[in-house]
Amino acid sequence: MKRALTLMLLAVMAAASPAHAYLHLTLSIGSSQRPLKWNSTRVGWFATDRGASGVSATQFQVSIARAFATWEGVPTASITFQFIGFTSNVPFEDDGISTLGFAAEPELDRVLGATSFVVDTLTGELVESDVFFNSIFPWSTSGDAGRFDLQSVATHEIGHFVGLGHSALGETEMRPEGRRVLASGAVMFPISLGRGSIQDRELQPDDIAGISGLYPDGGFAETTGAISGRIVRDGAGVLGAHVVAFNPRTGALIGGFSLGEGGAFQIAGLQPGPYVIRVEPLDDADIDSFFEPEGIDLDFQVTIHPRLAVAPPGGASDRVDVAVRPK
Amino acid sequence: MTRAFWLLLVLCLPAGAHAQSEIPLRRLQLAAGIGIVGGASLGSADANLRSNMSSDPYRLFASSSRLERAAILDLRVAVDLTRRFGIDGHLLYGHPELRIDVSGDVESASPVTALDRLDQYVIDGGVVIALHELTAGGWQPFAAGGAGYLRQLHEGLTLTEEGTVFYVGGGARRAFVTRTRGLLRGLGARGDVRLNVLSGGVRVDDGARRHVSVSGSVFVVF
Repeated sequence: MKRALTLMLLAVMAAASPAHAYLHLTLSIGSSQRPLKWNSTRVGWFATDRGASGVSATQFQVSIARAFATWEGVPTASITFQFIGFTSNVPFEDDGISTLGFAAEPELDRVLGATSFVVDTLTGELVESDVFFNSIFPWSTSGDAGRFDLQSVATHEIGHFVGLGHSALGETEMRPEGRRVLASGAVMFPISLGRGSIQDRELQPDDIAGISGLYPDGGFAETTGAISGRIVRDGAGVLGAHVVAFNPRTGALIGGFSLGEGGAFQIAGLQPGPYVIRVEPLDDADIDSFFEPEGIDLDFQVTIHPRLAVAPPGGASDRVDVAVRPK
Repeated sequence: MTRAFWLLLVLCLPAGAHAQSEIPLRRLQLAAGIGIVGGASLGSADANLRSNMSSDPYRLFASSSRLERAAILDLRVAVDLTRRFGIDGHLLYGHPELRIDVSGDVESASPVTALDRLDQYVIDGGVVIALHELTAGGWQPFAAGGAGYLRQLHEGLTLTEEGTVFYVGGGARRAFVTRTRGLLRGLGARGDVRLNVLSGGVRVDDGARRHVSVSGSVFVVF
């Protein structure tokens, strides 16, 4: 088995799968892209035996267990998790166990947490995954104002732990001190909602579609559908457009990217029904939060497609070609 | 086509037919016609993100859905069981447009009406109550009510949505020609107005939708 340690900060990966909504992390194997995922449906994890200021080791373990339970509670996904015990090992070591814990990383002064992987480079199977939470920041397990909510950030990092990349479902504004999140439509949005917020303890439809696509269960593949098509400008494909499908009946927003040849996209895991398709440039977070920025096209207007796209159960829509115009 | 149909029916009615008679009881009536089904609002829904600023959701854009008015094809089978009461079964086909108006985009995307076409079928059955006492000019009013099945297929026929229909309504009918023997026992026309209450099918919320349909038919009695 070939093993490779991949340090992943905020889910930056060399490639991203165009075949799904949200973003599944992938590994290039030969000419194909394999999703990074656990082959086992029961994944064990360890917690470090050290706490941080304001959070004891036991409180840490309880919060992390709740975050795992949030993902495990998705009825259309089959993956489950098991707390094995405390460990004196630290995250980001290739030690054969998946470890989550605090670590002080002062040089990463804008990183709350990060996830690393050990993968089988022949199959894309996850062998080990570690998560560190940067203890230079103030943490809380009870949503204290002025502190970052451990469970919310852990829910995000565990999304990476299972193989999800970042979602672009969110709106931000630029401020002198950096981007400020106005709103988000996914726990997997790459920027934290900030101190005191516990909103990211709860998954959103985009997150649920993401994990269900990786570990489908409960008839997910048969009961949900996909919308596929292309984003084009002046007849040429647009690379890296953020495509959002909105279901007026459920209110669900699920996003994807036009990363395929000729601006192709596919958004999967949709409840059957008609959808409004909205396309926007990827300008609410750094592009390299999602994938390699090379060739990503930002020069087009936000566009709502004048045809409804219909997601059928167990299949894909007719091809939806969305024409966008330059800014 | 319509003229040829009338001519054919008249030729099939031999001598001995009566003009403007009552429709024979317990005889099968087959009707075909055209009409229009009114539009119906399907409700409004906002595309919301979780706000980081307040407890109110952050609106990405707003949407309002509507099923547009459409022509319908109306087929009906009816039997008058008594002078007062009858039953009928009914198939309606329409091809309405589903429109979702999208506006108020937070990043100023142009407002758009996103469209889809539906093939809509209603199969229903109900009771007809003849109102002889209100007959005027040979036209006999009636009241009707019943329930049925709604089936809507989206464009491309990749998705079917189902629901139920309840209706109340009425109309008037007139037999132009009747006869007492032979295969064909009568020929007439009818007009129907119905208030339909739809549950299920294409919708934004779970509330029932109401729309009116109006149709005119010719019928033959066997």
